[in-house]
Amino acid sequence: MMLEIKVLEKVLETALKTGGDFAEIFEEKNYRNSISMLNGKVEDVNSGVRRGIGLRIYHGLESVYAYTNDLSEENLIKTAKQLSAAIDDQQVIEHVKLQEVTYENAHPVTLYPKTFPMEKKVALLKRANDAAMAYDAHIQKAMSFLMDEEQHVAIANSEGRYIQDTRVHTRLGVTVIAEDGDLHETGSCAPGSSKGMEFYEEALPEETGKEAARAAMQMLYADDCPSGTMPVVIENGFGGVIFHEACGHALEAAAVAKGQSVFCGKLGQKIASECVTAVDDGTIPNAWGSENIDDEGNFQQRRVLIENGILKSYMIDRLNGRRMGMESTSSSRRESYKYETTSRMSNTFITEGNDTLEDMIAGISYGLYAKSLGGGSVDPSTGDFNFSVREGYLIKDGKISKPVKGATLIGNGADVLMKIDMVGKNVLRAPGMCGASSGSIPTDVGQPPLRVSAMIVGGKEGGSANE
Amino acid sequence: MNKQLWMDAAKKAGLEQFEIYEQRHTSTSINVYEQKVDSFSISDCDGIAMRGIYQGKMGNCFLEEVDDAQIDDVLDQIKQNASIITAEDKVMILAPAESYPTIQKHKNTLLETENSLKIQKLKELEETVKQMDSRIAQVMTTTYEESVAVRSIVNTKGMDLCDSDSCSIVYVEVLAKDGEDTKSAFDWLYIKDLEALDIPAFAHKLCDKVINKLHADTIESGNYPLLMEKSAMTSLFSALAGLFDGENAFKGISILKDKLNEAIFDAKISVIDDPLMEDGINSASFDDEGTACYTKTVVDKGILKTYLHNSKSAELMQTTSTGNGFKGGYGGPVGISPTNFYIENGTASYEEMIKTMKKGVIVTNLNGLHAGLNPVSTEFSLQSEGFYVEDGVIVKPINLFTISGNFLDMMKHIKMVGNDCKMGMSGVGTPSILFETIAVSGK
Repeated sequence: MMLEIKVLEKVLETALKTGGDFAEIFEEKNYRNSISMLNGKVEDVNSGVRRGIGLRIYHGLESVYAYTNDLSEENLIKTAKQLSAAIDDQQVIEHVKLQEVTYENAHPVTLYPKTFPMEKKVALLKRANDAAMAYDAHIQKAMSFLMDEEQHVAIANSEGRYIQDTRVHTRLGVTVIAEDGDLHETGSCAPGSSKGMEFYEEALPEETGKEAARAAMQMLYADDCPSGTMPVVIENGFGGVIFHEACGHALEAAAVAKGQSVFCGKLGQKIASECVTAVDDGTIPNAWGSENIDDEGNFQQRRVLIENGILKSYMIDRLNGRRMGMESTSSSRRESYKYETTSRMSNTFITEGNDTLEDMIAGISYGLYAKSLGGGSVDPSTGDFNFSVREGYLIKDGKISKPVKGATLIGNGADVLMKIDMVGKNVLRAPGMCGASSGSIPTDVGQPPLRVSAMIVGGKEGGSANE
Repeated sequence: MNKQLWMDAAKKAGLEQFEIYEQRHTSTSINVYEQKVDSFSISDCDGIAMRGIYQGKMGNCFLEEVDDAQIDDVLDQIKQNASIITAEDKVMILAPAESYPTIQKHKNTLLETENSLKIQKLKELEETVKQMDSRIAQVMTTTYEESVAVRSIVNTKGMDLCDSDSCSIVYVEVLAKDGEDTKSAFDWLYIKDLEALDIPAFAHKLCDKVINKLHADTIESGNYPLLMEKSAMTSLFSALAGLFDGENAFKGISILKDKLNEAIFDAKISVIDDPLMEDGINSASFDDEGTACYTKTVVDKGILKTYLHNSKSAELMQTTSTGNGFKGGYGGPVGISPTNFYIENGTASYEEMIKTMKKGVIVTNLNGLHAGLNPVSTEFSLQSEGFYVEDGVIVKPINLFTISGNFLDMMKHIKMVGNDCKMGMSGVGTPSILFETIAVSGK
């Protein structure tokens, strides 16, 4: 059960006694399960409940935050008093009357993971494990995990809004180690969704296991990637991490509001090549980064960030909206009640263009085809970013040649966005976990295949681009 | 929560052994921005993890809201979780050690210091940094954080341990601009009292760090001698601490499997795990299983002397736990982590090492360690920042290049080890190290 409305009202009223002009409670009850398997044996099983509240008070542009998991009324009132002591002004709001906002769930779940039998979860893992191990005799280790969560949130604020949401996430991942003599290589695959366990009827565990093994075997005998600046073709799906790092983080109000982003003051201006249109859409049914409402209780939206190269919108939360004099775009997210919420991405992707993968590759005499990417990071204040290539191939004379491994791609966001010169057709999204000040949250990245005319490819092979 | 009641009920429910781990965490964080308190936060959270052995398997469960009325449901869940496990590893809940070491630490007076004084100090710090140089465009964050963690372990084998630790840290992130060029940098300091914060010295060091980065150039791709400055070296070494994990080694998930008593690094390298370090950020007299902690040499002059163990990995390798059984968070299972973990100092100063380089690269910062580094094979390719050296002198800052290699190979080809080891924020420390060669990718 969630906290009673009248308790929430009392806590909000207490919080506003010292002059705060807005107060908000984020309440969370989160049922979590995880199972891990090594080479077919179940190693660890853990389950538990995360339960607590975060209380936030605004006083102009100042924000104070408290969180606790002692949910007795007495402690909540005490916490509100303690927190509000940090503000010292005339009281402006005396009474709070909460009214529940209801809506239709846009992310329906058929098989809730909380009540799905453990044995059946183990059976899913086993299928993934077996497919990975059977792929090739060189697959020595298969480490698999299945996690799920059912997060119930209630958000109440001093404007009288009370709204609830239930977010379900499940993800099954396999990492394998392939070995041959002194050669070692890892491969991973980990699809996830905000569906229930019915997700595994489409994301078949066998396919996940096989894909992890295929990626490892493909790279086991690969040569080291060459170094230097060259054209790069980035495949669809997780390739979208390039936009997430090169641009996405720097469009978050958390960076923009205080002038700490390279894209400050650029609304309406051209910041990317004309073939780039990018969207952050938290409404896609059951996508990994979707939810009905953001963590400030506003309905999720589809935000066009860049249209034909022109910057159209930032991703804005309430507090940074105040700083910027702009409305929230419902972009406020957090890992849990233990984090003060801020502007974050949801499902962020570059939309379809007109080019074909074949044409992109055909036009390159020497370059890199990055088929599968790993994670990355960015400094939003400078725009310098990096991400790793899990599976790469050299392009020579317009054709894909040998596989190469161990490359990281780096660049500067503002620069690279202008150098995207071809965008392909079939958009694909892929799940990831994104870490920032409000914790680690599920986000999708995505794109069609695209080409960057020049990027720094960091490989181990010292060779030059003229090899 | 009546813990005795839970332990009695666990026995009755057929659990062979049962343990309750509790962690209470309180914190305060203050952030000053443009001479105002921009954000202030406080927290008080309790986390309970329970584990029990049922038919020879370990079941885990965690809760944040505990009511004695839930006993039956929770114990059922633990039994169910245990019965799903098929791995045959022997698991244990431990009896207390005969004795535990004492940790030397100075009193953290900040816990009793008024917040208003801390705020005043942060404002002074922000202003001093801002005034250091006209190219300081803004002080992005000036933050103070303190936390107190109280940890207890009770179990059916008679363990009843409790300890508490606190830490206070100040950190500042700064942005410098000169023309169109922008660079950022941050620095931090653990403190025990406000007087320990030497504002001019802190501000000076941070400003030098960021100003020196301005107008960085690119670098030609190729192979260069590499001086890893201590903080960059620390972040790399820290990301690879899992190499020494005894369970990973036993199960073949670490490249150091079967390498005990073999040379894994250059003979100039020794690695220590010291849980008894005075004022160490990870100092502890017992680990999260209640095993007594002790100081050990993990790598002695290049030779791997021991893996790090919890009770489970020690059993697998038929040895004894090294007291490194720590949880990632209160709710997770007991894993294996180092405590205060460092590479011992060599004899060369940072400046001396620079002087020996004819044409070389200094790396002061690495990015994307979670992505560009394979923690199993230790292959890496990482976005780097630093300086270019010619004839023993720093000639220019460089950025947007990568260094790529294999950590184990690199650690076998060391020219000099510095004498400047500093413990990093997470309790891992290394001196600056001069390596023979590294592959650099730039223009």
